[in-house]
Amino acid sequence: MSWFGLILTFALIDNVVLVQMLGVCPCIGAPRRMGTAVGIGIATAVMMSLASLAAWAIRTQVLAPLGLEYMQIVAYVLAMAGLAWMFEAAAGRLAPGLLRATGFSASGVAVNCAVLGVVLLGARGGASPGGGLGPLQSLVAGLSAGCGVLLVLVLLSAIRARLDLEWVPRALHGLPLSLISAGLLALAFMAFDRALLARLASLLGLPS
Amino acid sequence: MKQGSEIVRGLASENPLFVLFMGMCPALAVSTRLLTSLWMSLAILCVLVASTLFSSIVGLFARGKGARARWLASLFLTACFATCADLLLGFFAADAHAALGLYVPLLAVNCLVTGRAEMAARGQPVGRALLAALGAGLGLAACFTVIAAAREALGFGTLTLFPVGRFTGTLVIAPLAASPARAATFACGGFLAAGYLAALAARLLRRGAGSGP
Repeated sequence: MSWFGLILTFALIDNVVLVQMLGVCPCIGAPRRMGTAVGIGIATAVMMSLASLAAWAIRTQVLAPLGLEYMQIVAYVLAMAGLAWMFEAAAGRLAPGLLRATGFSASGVAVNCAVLGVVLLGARGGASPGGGLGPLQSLVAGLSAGCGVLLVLVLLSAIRARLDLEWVPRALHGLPLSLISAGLLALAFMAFDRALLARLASLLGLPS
Repeated sequence: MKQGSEIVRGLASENPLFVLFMGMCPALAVSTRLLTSLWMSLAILCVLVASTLFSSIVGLFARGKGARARWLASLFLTACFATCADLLLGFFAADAHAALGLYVPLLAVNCLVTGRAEMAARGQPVGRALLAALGAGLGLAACFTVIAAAREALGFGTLTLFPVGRFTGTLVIAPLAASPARAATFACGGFLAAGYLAALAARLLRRGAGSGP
């Protein structure tokens, strides 16, 4: 798969939240404040790209030579926990305000099915038949999947802020309404498919 | 009485799916067929109870030790049990395993499972943690079944269950099977079905709470 196809596939066509339905919980409870949503989205994107790269290293350098592929979940989860701690420490030094504002916690990002889902999809090679992705491809796939999550978070947060001003039936208040908004957004995301990718690639003169 | 109330809380007022909105990903993603969702519910229940049990034992022995070490231990145990569930399902029910795909190994980071395991590792009493996990698992399974039944009936016009004797295991709802609403089986259908059913559950729960003592 070309770079163009890889980025579009992971960010839009196979969008983690709306198509693969991974990491739904943080997005459904998307914060009303846009800044917080962007912060969480960026943290997720960084975690996803780092975790994908780490998982590539673990898979090809440790698990495959030892024949321990069936232990991949355990290895990835422990690696992600370590990464999340590092990330938390780094963010605490660089942007302590962001950390407080987002209510960011190491466990919240490490224990996130979106991140592990992207890692596993990368391990399976996503849509390409030639096995797992390479190191740089893993990094880019993780980053674009994270950008897809960021996009969905921002959209849902904006929808939620708008809906606060409207009258809604009492039973729909809160999360049922978010779920229905997400469903309609998923319907819109069905417009992103392989045919669109092929068309865009041919328009831009790129290999799809 | 108290033991019973823990389980009832998981089923109703603290239902993980429709009230707390935890562990939703598998419930939305693989609830397109009733039989698949039953296998998934079984996998969730087993992983949830096993990892809660072992995490609460960790919490028992490591009382007062570092919170991070206990968190890591509960994460590790959950990942091990998710791997076990994946391997066992692949061995005993290969069809269901293929249909569930990524979502059984992903139980390792399901927020419901890790949340319960972490609470247990923090030193919740073993019995209470187990009952709460059982209640949450049953509540999740019940919602899961309802969502899957609605989506399969609307999207395919069938209800797939286990084949027993001469019964093939598939109920066909004739008018729906002739012209199914395919959108119900796509991702958007999952979100919409869960949203409307959650609203229904909120209404029923409020009415139940209002009429109760």
